[in-house]
Parts: sequence; structure tokens; C-alpha cells
Amino acid sequence: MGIGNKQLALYFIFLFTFGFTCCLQGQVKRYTVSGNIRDAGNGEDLIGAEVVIAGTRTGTVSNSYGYYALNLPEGRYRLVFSYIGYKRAEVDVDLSADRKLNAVLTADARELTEVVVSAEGRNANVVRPEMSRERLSAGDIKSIPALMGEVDVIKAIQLLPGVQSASEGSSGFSVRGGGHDQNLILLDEATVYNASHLMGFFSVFNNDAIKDVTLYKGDIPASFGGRLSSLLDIRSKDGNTQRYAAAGGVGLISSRLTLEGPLGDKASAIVSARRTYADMFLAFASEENQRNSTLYFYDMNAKLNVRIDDNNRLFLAGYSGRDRFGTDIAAMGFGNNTVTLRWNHVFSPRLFSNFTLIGSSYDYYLRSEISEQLSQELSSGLEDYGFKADFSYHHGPANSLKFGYNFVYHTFLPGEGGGVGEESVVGRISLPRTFAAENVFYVANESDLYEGRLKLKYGLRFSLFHNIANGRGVDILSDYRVAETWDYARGTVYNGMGRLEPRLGVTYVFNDLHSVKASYSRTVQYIQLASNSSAGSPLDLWFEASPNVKPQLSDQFALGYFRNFAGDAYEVSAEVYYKDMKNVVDFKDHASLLINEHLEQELRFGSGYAYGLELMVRRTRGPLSGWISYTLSRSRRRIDGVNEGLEYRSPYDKPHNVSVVLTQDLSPRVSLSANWVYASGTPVTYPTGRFQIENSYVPVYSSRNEYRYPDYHRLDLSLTWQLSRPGRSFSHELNFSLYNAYGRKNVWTILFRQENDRPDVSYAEKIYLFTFIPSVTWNFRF
Amino acid sequence: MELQVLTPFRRLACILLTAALAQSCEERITIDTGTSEPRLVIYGYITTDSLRHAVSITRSSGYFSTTKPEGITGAEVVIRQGEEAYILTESGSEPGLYQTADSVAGEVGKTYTLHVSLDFDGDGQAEEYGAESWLPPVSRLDSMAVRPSALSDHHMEVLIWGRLPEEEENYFNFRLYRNGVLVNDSLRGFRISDDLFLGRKDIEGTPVFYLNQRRESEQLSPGDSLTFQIDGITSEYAGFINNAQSERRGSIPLFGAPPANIETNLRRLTPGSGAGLSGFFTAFSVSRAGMLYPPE
Repeated sequence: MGIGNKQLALYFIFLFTFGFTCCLQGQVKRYTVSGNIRDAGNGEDLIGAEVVIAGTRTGTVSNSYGYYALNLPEGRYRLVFSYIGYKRAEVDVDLSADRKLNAVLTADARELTEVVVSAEGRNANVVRPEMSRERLSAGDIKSIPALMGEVDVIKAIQLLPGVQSASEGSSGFSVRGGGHDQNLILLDEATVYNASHLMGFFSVFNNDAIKDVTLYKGDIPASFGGRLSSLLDIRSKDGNTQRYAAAGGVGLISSRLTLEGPLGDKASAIVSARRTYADMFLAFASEENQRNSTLYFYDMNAKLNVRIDDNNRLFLAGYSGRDRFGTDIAAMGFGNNTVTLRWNHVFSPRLFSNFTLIGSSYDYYLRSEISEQLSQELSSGLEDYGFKADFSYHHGPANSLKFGYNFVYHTFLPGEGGGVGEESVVGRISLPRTFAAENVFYVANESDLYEGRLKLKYGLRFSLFHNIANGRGVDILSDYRVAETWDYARGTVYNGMGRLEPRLGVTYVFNDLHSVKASYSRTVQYIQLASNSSAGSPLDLWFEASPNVKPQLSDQFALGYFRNFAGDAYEVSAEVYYKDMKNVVDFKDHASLLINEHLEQELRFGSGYAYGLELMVRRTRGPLSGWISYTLSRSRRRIDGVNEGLEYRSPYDKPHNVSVVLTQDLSPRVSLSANWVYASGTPVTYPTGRFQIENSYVPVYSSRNEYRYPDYHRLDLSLTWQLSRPGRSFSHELNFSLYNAYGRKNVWTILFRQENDRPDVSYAEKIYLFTFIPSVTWNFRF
Repeated sequence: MELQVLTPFRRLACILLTAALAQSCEERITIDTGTSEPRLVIYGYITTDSLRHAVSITRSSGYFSTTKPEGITGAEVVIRQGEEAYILTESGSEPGLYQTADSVAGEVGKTYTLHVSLDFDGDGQAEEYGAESWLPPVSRLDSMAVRPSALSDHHMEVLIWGRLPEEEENYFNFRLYRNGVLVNDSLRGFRISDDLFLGRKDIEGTPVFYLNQRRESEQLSPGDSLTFQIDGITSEYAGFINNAQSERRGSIPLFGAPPANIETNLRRLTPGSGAGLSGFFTAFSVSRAGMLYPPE
């Protein structure tokens, strides 16, 4: 971008000084009103609820823990608490001293019967100094028709503008032309490294355990980073503090159960579990080897929430999930584990803090037991341990400062395996573990100027990444070959790199109905996937930046216009963006990525860019709700040694993308949902010629991604029928869904083959996956 | 170099995926992939066997073409090793096939250079093309045996005894002849391996080949003579064959790399047309063991 780190630092010093100077002018006695905003029904903290001074634009929103703080001049105020789908609450406050004021909002019975799209305040999309951001609640996600009835967070966000599915049915997704490994997926602040179950057809997130999902496609807060394209921030439920409750469902391929409730006066807990039972049907298979097969996944979420006092809260959250497939002679398994321990501490009404200990791991194994001599196994994975300290300082109603520190220690297990047992004739290989540490400091400020019309958001993130020696030689490459080898004692920090990541956002609010916003964000990615496929697979391997691998870097600029109509019932937005990416990682042709101790020699580097227009119309209330979005985009790459160094379409370059997601209430107890998606065909490399060697034809290919598969489109339908009357303590419903209702045979892949009896004759064969998949799910709650 | 140890796992993953996708369907379609500019394809090798070696020179065709590739005649083809030069002459019966004299044999450790001169672009000027390969060491193959496989009731497995070369890294191609006819005579049947898969230098009854007794060409009958052959190949040729097998097979989205043209070791030595080059020239060592089925 031509801006040096020094200039950037000076620029941000100016901004911070400017912001604080503005709010320091004309100081009077000021006090802070603070507290938590909760749901009256279950005690859950409400994230992003609004608190404003009646008749003004002065206010704030609750943070991820439901905490808010407003620093105001001494005086009497009427505070209005609001959250979409809930009754507003107005409270008069005499602010002659710091006040603690917890707000409890009651769900609006009228709106409870409707699907509420977008939480937060009614015009939050207009007035909040954030763009390129989408929020979905568990209710939103549940209303969307799902494959085999499995309600899925990832599949829901793939319907948002700027987000594309990596392939049919995949949990991999691309945001604004970025790679599927360029999305930071956090569950209660712990990184989830592989969000896929069953080869990607389902995600690892059980919707019953989820409270809130926020996707940042750009304009990522300075407190987060580490991936180029997006942040998917998923927060799980804290557990009902009011009463014991249960929820669950029985579907075609899985069942799930969630139990939650108070533990004494100050604590609550929630446990949620899900398991598929495809393997149970295998027991009835006619062939013995199928009867002995294993095919299932499970996941469990658990959370303990302890409110020690008004100033201290503890959260202990964990996730564990695993897939297992196996036959008589082979087995495969993979899974994630995460754990977070968080401590919210209010140092003063103005200073809120959160301290987090984080652990996360992902691993897979493969085993074949075809004979004693040829039995083999392979395993790989990674582990993270980290610590975060985040602070929010509410300097005034027009100024809030956030700062913090984040540390992560990565351990990569590139792989070990080979022959099993003494009889095995297959050799063993064990690639050494590698280690790295990430240190991040960030500071960010939000300022409201000109009576809240102009909102500035600016932050600076300083990330440091260090490679730590494992006691083995470190190969230094030149022209992708080993030029020299450095030797370091185990534990020595032998390589370090640091990057400044500025974030900037400007919002101008014309009035409560429309605004214009602009943002710039630089993001840096130090670890990435060694993945040869565009959709991702369980066998993909994470690897780190090093002396041979520079961190990937992205500069994204975005501009948007936001407008609400009909009392905020309709939200309309238009965003344009341009993303410039450097040090983009790709792989040489025919790269060997598994168990390769010379993996870095398989990498190739280059640049990329993406730009696009995202249009969205959303109806947030009423019997018919949902959204229609259109995305026009381009995503290109130029990588040294790939496609002869010429620019090519990235695998995620799909110029036209349409999503229609609608829910119609047919009666108080019956609702009909439909979504229709359309996307330009995935870029693909086709064979354009062939030659013959060794009695076989070998294809000659076009330029990389020169062609496209046929366009993709699909209609899904679902009908939800409430079997119980509203207000009953035991409620249950039936959900019928039909995936791909008009049976479009969308291309999953095209294979090129030769006729068996006429080997000189080649033909193309389309593989398509899902047509007319009906399902029924029974859900209950008491 | 793809590790052989992973191949069964990749197959497993594909099988599991296929099982999971009971709903998946296949359908033949017609697509227009266009036709790329013809490429010059040169393919040949020299081995430690004393025989008439051959190099084929052809022109690539459209992918959906239904005819065999056109052989290119009129080329000058020479294989050199040091001061020695083996001139290849064009076969009278097969256009584009160039052969050495009888009884030419390569030597282990020597480097062989192929030199081809031809006018491929039709501008009246001959272009020069070349490639070179060293000849890797030979394995010692003492004996072989055949027995029913524990993996399946319709497969026989071929076991071998011998010793691999002392070099740290070696690559191999396995061939099996039944009654003098090569069983694995196409890329699909090539068995590329390395030291790691064979585990240790001494090979003591390692299963290396499987014969499907439901396939006529592999069915064993009493009195059959079997010959097992290990080719000691270069890592570059092993990579070429692996990649050619992979591209011939095609890939599926979850496990496949993006398709790409296979790298060749052929180089254009003189300026000329921008036509692409494909194929490979290599040298390899050969060792064999034989048996009669069933063993006496």
C-alpha cells in the first residue's frame, strides 16, 4: 500500500489523540451507569442490546457478555433498553454517583411467533459504526431449511452476501473471494480448526447450544485477527439461570439433547450433545462387511457460568466432537476439542475486563489392517494453548477504548505413521513437531462526533509471530530447494516477524434511517492449511509461517450505504469492497502435502485480489421475513510457478451469487420457509487434449480454472408445525424439509474417463450429490 | 514424491466418502472443452537389458478425439552416453517410433542424453529437443512366490525375496509377466514404490503385487510361468508416472489436487514455435526372478 509502519503508527497516534481531545473538551462531573442486560425468561445475557438516552442518539450496546456502561454528565436520564424481539424497557436514573443498573428484558410474545432476522436494536444496521458484518441468532438459523434436517450454522452463513460454499454440501466457505482456510472460526473464543463433520456435509456446531453467531467479512475488530478473510464468532449459551429446562430433537440421521438449569443462586450450566446413527442402519445391511462398518459423528458442548458477584463472573466452556468411519480393514477418525475458562472482572464501572485461558486441538488418524505385513497407520494434528486479556474503558458516552493482549502457543504435529506391528514390511516415518508463538497487542477506540452523526472507529493491532526450534535442523530454501540448514537447540526462538494491522471505520449517520460507512482493515495470517482441494478435507494440515513462508497479508477497503424503511421493518444495504492480498500461498502442480517433511518446497507464493458489490434487502419483522441478496464479485490470483505465472481465477471466483431466504407464517402454529440459491459455476480446469504413453491416454489441460462448471441453483423448503399450543410448558414441533426441491442435478465434479472396451474413446461424466432429500425432525422443549 | 504408504488411505477415504454419499449419481454429459494447440510428445527409455530400445514421437490430439495420436516422421533421434552415440532409426511399420540397433544396453550409474531434431511447427526449420537421465542401481532379486491373499478370496499375492540397492533413496516400478506377457501393461497397472514402502533393504517375502483371479488377464493356471521384474527408476520418472496415473484417473473435490499438466524433463534446445512439450525420457535398471505356477 506504500504506507510504512512508522507513518501508520503516527497516523494512529494522531487519531487517538484527536478522539480523546474531542471528548475531554468542557469536562463536567461525570458518572457511570453500568450493568448487564439479560433475557427475563432464561437469564441469558443479551449480546448487542441497545441502551440509549431517550430522545437522543447517545447510547451504547452490550458486549459479548451482556455488559454495558455509559459514562454521562451528572443529571437525570431516562434510559431505554431495547433488543429486537423483546419489549423495550425504560428506566429513570438519577446519576449523581456511579450506578449499577441491570436490565431484564422480556420477550415480546407477538414477535416470538415470528422469525426475527437480525438481533440488536431495530436500526443497529444503520447507526452502529460497523459494516461488512452479519449476525444470526439460533432462531434465524433454525428457520432455514437444512440438508437432512440438520440445522447448521455454517450452511446458514453460506446464504449471506459475500459468502460462498466451497462446494456442494461443504462446510468450507469462502468470504469475499478468500480461501477456506482464511476464516477464523471461534467457539467461545477458542479456534475451531476443522468445522466439518462427515467430510463437510455437516458442521461441528450444534444449533441448540448456540446463542449468537456473528460473521465479519471485513472491518474485523482490532481485538481479532490471524486470518485474512473473515471472523466467525460463535458464542454458546450460558445456561438457564431461572429454571431447569430441556430441549432436543430426533431427526433422520441424528438426535440431540440439551439440558440446562441453575446451580444455586449464582451459577448455571448447560450440556448439549448430538450423535448420528447412520451406523445403526448399517447393522441391517445385507453384506457382512457393511454390517461391521462404523459411520458416525458426535459432539458435546458444556458450559458452566458462575456469577460470583456483580463484578466477577466465571465461564468454563468446552466442546468435544469426533467423526469415526471404519470397515473391517480400515478406519478413520478426526475431531476437535476446545476449552475456555473466562473471568469477567469489572475493575470500575468504566473499566470492564475479560481474561481467558484457551485450549484447542484438532487431530486425525487413519488405520488400515489389510494384513499383518501391510497394516499401516497415520496421524496428524495440532494443539493451541493461549491466554487473552481484553479491556473496555468507557471514557464517555461518545468514547470507548478497547485494548488487550493475546498469546497463543502452537504445536503442530505434521504427522507420523507407517507400518504397524513387527510383521509389517512398511517403514515408519515420524515428522518432528514444530512450535510457534503468537503475541498480539491491540488498542482500538470508538468516538461519536457531532451528536452521534459521525462515528469513528480506529484501532491498531500489532502481531508478533515466533518460530521455536524443535532441535532439528531448519532448512533455508532458495528457489524452493534447500540452500542451507540452521541448527538450533530445542526451545530456541530462531525466527520472528511482526506486522502492524491498522483498522479504520467511519460512519456518517444522516438520520435514524440511513447512513454511509467506509472501512479499511489490514489482516495478517501466520498459519494456513496445506490443502490441495478448494473445499478442504479432514486430512488437511495446518502449517506455520517461517523463514521460508512469509505471513499472508490483506488490505481491504469497503464502502457501504445502509437504509431502513417502514419503521425499520426493511433493511437495505449496498456494499462495495476491494481486497488486495500479498504472500498468498498456493501449491505447486501435483504437490505432495501429506507426511512430507519437505512440505515448504511444495509451496508457491504470489498475490491475489478480489472485489465485489453486495446488495441486500432484509425484512426483519412481520409474517413474511428473511432476505434477498445479490453479490457481484471477482477473485483472482497470480502465483509464481502456477499456471506459468499468469493470473488465474481463484477457485472461489463466482461472479454472480443470489440468495433468497424467506419464512412465511401461515398461522400462529405453522410456518413455511424457503431458500433459493444461485451461483455462477465453480472455475475448473478442463482437459483440452491428450497424448498416449504406456498404452494409456494422459490429458493435456487448459489454463488453470479457464472454464466453469454449469451454474448452480437449488430450492429448499421446510414447514414447521407447532404441535403444542403457545404457553405450554412442554412444547414440541415437527419440521419437514425438502432439500433441492426441484431436483437440480448440480455438478459436484466432472470426471473424464475412457470407455472400457474402446480405450481410444474418452467421455465426460458428471457426478451430482443431492436431489430431493426429504427429512422430518421432531423438536421438543420443556 | 508421493509416499506409497498413503495410497491405501486415500482409497479408504474415497470409499468412505462414496458410502456416505449414497445419494450421489453419475451421468454422462457432453461438454465442449475446446482443443488445445497440439503438443510434441516424446517418450522413451533405455534400460540395462540388452535389446532394441525405442523412443516414440507423436502429436497430441483433442481430448475427445477418437483416433490414435499421429506419429511424427522424419525426426533425427540419438541417445548419447559420453562418447558413445546410439542412432535411432524410424520403424517401417509404426510411424513415429524410432528404434536403436539390436543389443543396446544401458549401464548403471551412467547418464544418457536424448537428442531429437525435427520440424514440428512446419516452418521448414528443424527444432532441437533434448532430455537426460541417469541410470539408477539395480536391486538383487533372489526369488518369488505366489499365495492366496488374506485380503480377498479372489486375489493371489506375489511375494519377493532379495535386497534393495544400498543408496539412501530408491524408487521402483514393479512389472509382472505371465507366460511372457506383461500383466500390468498400462499406466493403471504401474506399481511405483520406494524404500519406505518396502520397509528395509532386505526383502523377505514382501507382498508386492496382487493378481485378481476374476480377471482373465490375471488368472493363474497350472503350468503358467511367472516373471517378476523390478525397475530401478529415478525419482523424476517415479514422479512423472505417479502424476500421469493421477491425471489419468481424475480427482474428486475433497481429495484431489487441481488438475495440471505433467511436468516433463524434455527441453527445447533451440528457439522455435511455442508449442508445448510432453512426455519423458528416462533410463532404468532391471532385475528379475521367475517361477512356475504352481511351484513344484
